Amino acid sequence: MIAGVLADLRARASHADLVRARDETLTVTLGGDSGAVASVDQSDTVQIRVVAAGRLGWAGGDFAVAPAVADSALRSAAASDPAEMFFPAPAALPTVITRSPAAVALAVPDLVHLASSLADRLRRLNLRIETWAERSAGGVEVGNSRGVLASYDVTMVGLGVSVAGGPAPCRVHVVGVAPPGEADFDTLVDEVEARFGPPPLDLTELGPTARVWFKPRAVRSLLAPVLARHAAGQWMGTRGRPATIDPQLSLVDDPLVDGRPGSRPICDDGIPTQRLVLIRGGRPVAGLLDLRTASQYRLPATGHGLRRGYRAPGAAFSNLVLETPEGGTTDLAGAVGDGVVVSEIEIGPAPNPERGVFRVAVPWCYRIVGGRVVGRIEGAALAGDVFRLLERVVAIGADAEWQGAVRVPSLVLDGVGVTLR
Amino acid sequence: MRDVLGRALAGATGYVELRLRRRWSTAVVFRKQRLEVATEYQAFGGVARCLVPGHGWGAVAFTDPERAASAVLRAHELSLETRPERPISLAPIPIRQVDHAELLIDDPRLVSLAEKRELLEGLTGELLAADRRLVDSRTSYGDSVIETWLATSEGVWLHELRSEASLGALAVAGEDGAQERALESVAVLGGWGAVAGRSAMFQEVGARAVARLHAVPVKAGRYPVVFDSRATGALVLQTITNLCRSPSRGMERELLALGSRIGPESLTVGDDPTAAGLRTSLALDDEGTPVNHTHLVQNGVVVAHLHTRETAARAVVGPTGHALAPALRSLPAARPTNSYVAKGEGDPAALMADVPLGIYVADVLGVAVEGHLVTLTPATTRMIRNGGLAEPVKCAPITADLFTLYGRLDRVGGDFAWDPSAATLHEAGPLRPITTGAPHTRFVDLDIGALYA
Repeated sequence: MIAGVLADLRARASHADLVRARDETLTVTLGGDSGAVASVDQSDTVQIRVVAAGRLGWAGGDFAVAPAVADSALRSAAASDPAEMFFPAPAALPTVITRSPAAVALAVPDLVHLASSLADRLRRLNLRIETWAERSAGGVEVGNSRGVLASYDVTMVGLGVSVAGGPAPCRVHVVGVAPPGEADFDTLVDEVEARFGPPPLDLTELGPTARVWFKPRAVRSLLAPVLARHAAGQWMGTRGRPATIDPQLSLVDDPLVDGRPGSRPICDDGIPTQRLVLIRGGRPVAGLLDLRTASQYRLPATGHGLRRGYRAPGAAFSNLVLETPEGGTTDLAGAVGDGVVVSEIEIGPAPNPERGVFRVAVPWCYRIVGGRVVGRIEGAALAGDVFRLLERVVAIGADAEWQGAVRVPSLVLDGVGVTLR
Repeated sequence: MRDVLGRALAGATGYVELRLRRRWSTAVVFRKQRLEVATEYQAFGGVARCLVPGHGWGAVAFTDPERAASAVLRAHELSLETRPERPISLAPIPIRQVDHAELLIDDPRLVSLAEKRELLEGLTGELLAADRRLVDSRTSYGDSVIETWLATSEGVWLHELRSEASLGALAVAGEDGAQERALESVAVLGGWGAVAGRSAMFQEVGARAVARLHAVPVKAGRYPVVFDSRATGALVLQTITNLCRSPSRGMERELLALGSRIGPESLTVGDDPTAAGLRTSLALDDEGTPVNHTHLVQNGVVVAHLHTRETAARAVVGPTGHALAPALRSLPAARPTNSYVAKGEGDPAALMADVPLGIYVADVLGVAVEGHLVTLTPATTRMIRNGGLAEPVKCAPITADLFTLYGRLDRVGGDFAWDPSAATLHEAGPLRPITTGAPHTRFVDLDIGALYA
């Protein structure tokens, strides 16, 4: 389908590449204040990049008006500066599962069944809940004027719950290429139970620092400043050189893991994807390079280009895996001894987020005394420097699990600032 | 277009709503003096929603206008496939037919991309030339023209054309290994002419970043804190206004209860979509409800919530006209438009006059709310000494319980200003622009922690 657009562009520009993304997302939401909703969202977008008269331009829009988007890309090039781009030639693509026939077959009644089954399992907790199930099916086509022409189909199924009545909204979900199974239902129910189970404590003093068990969802947020330093611009720039973390930790970006949200055989720059070690034994060794940044520095691109619709071309992580030594600790509360455990954190605005400095409220925070969770702490806030904290990992959990496109274990970290309101 | 929508709605049963929206946009971005983005795009988004009595909502979002009629049919089928635990009803609304699609003045679509680039390149040059210690910057220009058509089976009709333009600047100053940054933005209703004469904004943001280089961290402790009108507006938007809007799909959460006291007698908060001249003001919301100026907090007590027709019917109140969709193809949910704090008494100087030692917060980098815990990250801060503004300082994020925080609000100033910066409400997914307005405010005895840096 994109070959015709490319043929037209060859006559008007020295080089061109484009990405078309089609998607149909079917969503069912049950319960809560929104009653019941079944919705379909269909989209078909294209992003076109051209080099004309030595200048690089790009534009995005609906595929239905691809010729107009091509015109916009050429106007973009005319208004831009001279730039070099080294478009890739065709190459063999790796094999990776990005689609599930079972997911494609899911219809509204199936999604209603998934959402209502989850609601049924949570009903005994007597909480106000809203459950949802979502199925996305579509495809991606990538091509360029050097002859790259590739496509792959994509599916994604999500199941989630939003629970009111706690210290903060509790929203948890699972997502994967295939429909959720029993283990996914158990994961969601266990997570909600773990959050609402322990009773609130009347605690007035804690800190100023404590040993903290960050559960996998919290670790995912904790990694945000680390990842920021491995993104294309930051990695190549002179500012904010990557910091070393605990040698037990390695961080890998892996688009070739089957069936995860970031799985893909080719990136949007037209480059075959590959596993990329970002941090090996605590030492930063690589960063993502999209085609434009790589061309600027005359380096090979890493296959992480992301260009969808109106979003500016750039590099994006695919599936992230925090690799740790075999085994891991099963008794993480015991490893903490006296401290706290947090289910999730959100590292929000900070004076300078790139430095990894944070100070955040943690409504889902629990006290551990004598290696046992004794209750929920109300009004707690955590503070620290992510890079300093990750230099001294006390324990690594044996509980690594996929959450969307990220697989991380729990981490127990020392010296985290803790305050109560 | 009216005929197209009319035909699509013909024969539908139950309540049907069809919204079509087309957007033309431009974006130009410089990183220092290197052009990163210069592009334009147009996008179309349609949403058909249907509610068959006794069933749930069916909705279809699409990108091809030719699919409007089939989308209505599919939305009807989807509605029949769901059955809520409780029946869904919609609060009645007055039926209006509104046409606000006059030709635009200063239509940004008539200005070339090259001219827009030239404007931003010049402003970027002025920012970087202001001081040798300005080592980095990211500047942006954006404009958009949005045309909306809305028709419902009840007879609502809306055709609207509007444009807005924006400028943004991030300045990074560096010296002796230290780096500091400052942000500024402006987003206004109107076209190309609306962004003229903004040199001062770009020079000032550079000066602010440089000034922070030599600011010392605030000593941890408890202080009275005076927030300027922009900081007050941002704080109240993300806390009180956000917690007074009925939940949207997938966002089940607690609201501030009607009748509960959130602050002192001097605190009155509202949302006014009818405010003149603001980019987020409206005639009808995305369900076709005529918008209403709504008081959310009156003299410190929560008196109302923002509603869609569905949530209003459930609460047995009238709809407020705040059903808004953040993106072309998204469904409407209760969202604020022009969130404000009503002015009290006394000018800003009077709020500081009796403060021997305190902190003045001008603007915020962000306000995060987790449950009832609020974390506010100040942008520009100065000490208050003996009733007057003193040296620039760096202030750690301020974390407090929502009710404790507003319990410490002791003065609401008599000044008031709508903030023209590009504000949004923090929520997952696409963000809808919001305007905030407020006077200066003073809080006593706020806990300022140590700054980790």
